[in-house]
Amino acid sequence: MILIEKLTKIFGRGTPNEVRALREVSLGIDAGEFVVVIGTNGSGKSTLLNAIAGGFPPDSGRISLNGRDVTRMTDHQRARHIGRVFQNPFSGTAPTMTIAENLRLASLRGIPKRLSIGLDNGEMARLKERSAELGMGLETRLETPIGLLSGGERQALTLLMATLRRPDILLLDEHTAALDPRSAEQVMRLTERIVREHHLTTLMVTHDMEEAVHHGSRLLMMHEGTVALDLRAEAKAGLTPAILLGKFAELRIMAR
Amino acid sequence: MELTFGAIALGLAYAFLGMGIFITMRIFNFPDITADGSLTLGGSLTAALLTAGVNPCLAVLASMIAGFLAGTATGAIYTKLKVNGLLSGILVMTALYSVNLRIMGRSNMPLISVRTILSPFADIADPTLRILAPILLFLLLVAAFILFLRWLFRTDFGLAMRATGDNEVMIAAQGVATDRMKIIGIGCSNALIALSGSLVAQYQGFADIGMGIGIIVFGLASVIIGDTLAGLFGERFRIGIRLICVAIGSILFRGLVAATLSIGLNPTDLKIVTAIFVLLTIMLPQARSALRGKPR
Ligand SMILES: Nc1ncnc2c1ncn2[C@@H]1O[C@H](COP(=O)(O)OP(=O)(O)OP(=O)(O)O)[C@@H](O)[C@H]1O
Ligand SMILES: [Mg+2]
Repeated sequence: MILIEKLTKIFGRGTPNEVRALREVSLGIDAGEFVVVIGTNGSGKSTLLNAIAGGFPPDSGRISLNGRDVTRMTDHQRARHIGRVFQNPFSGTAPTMTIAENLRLASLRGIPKRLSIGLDNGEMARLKERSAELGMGLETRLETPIGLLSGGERQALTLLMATLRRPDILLLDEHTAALDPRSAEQVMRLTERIVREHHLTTLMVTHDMEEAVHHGSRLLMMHEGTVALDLRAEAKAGLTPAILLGKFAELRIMAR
Repeated sequence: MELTFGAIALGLAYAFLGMGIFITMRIFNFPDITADGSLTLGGSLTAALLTAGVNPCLAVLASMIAGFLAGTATGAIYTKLKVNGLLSGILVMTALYSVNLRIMGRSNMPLISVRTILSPFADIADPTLRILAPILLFLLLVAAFILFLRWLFRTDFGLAMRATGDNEVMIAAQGVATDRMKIIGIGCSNALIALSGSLVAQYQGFADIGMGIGIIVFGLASVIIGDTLAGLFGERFRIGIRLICVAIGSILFRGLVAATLSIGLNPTDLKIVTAIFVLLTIMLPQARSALRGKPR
């Protein structure tokens, strides 16, 4: 599904601020895997997700999706395959546009936006049904500008938008980090349900050890631009937050 | 009386300038100041084509296309060459000055004895009707374009245009090439501005190389008055109504200009009156909330 080969990304190359955000990362992710990505601040988690989404061209290495080399494709060219939710609830939605308008654009992800009214009564009814799936009562507020909603509501909608058209890959970058505990839990429950229902291949970055332990089928720990730990199946299932914190400590000691 | 009708007709002709600025400033969040050049481009190309005997409707259409191209130039310099937005507009506007002089071959072109879109009205016997006819034509055009834009911004393509100005990260994630959207958007804006120049030239009976100087502020003024009006009706989101308010803003602003002239101020004083007026309109909403004791 996703094949990453010797991917390197250096920010500010040749300047005093040079950062090797990814160092020859190689990684294969199968269809249907739910990969949780953890790691300290600046370890390269967001950079990895951005590289998959096509936010920037890598310095070296290759990325292929479904056997197709996408290394040189821009983010909007890859959008057909990728659904994204960002850490900042403001990033995923257009605030002055209504819920319905945002959802309409999301249901056209990766396909041409044509010069015809797509948001007709039939489409409204369909979007109403889909947004009811969130169970937040947003289906009655489809004409409300999204900017008037709470962060949790916006994040839940962004999640719906990312999956309204089934993506090959779902990228979640600390998508619950900016929410209060209750909304975070609600969005996490939604995530789990949507990922299961649609059998989505998912990468989820989190700093929450509980989240990392309880969700997903595989766990990656990033450290200084490399994948320091890659646990699957039983090894992942047997994890506790305490074990993970122990692994972090080991990495710190090794770095000394 | 004549003065009032004149102000209304010009206000309607300049409403397209306001709509153009509205598109770049409010929809795309882009400070486009190509207007000074593209308005004159519309006027000068219309003048040159009409003088050459081209059908007036074709001349108007050609002006709009030229304005569109000027806008795409600004958009391309901004997005592809990564030049600062204001500077991109200044560059194109400056270049257009020479282009416009080339088009006309001189700095001023009278349109008194050539056929314009307003010529058919010259034969109307009734004097009141003769004055009213251009106003009706412009009103019809303004209404048609507002309806068109209202439709455009509700199509899937139009939604993508609005999202480009609203949240670029979001719309890029939906697979939209935002650079292309901006180029097309700035193009459309300047097509409307050139249309404005074309109509103004035909109404005034001449095109002048200086007709666009400082015109961006007139456009801004109509947009800001329009926003204030729309705010009074509690309308912050519906584009059709906001565009109607921009058109009304343009007419009100022309009325103010006429009033300024009629109380004996010199036409050369207009720019400072404009600047002060725009400043006051911007301050108005703030002053209102201050009076209500709300923190902004
Ligand atoms: N656009 C950029 N320009 C320069 N440096 C960058 C840029 N993006 C990331 N970096 C640097 O690359 C490194 C990796 O950043 P990245 O955002 O991938 O970390 P992260 O693991 O997501 O951290 P966090 O947990 O804080 O989100 C950091 O040192 C960061 O400062
Ligand atoms: Mg990050």
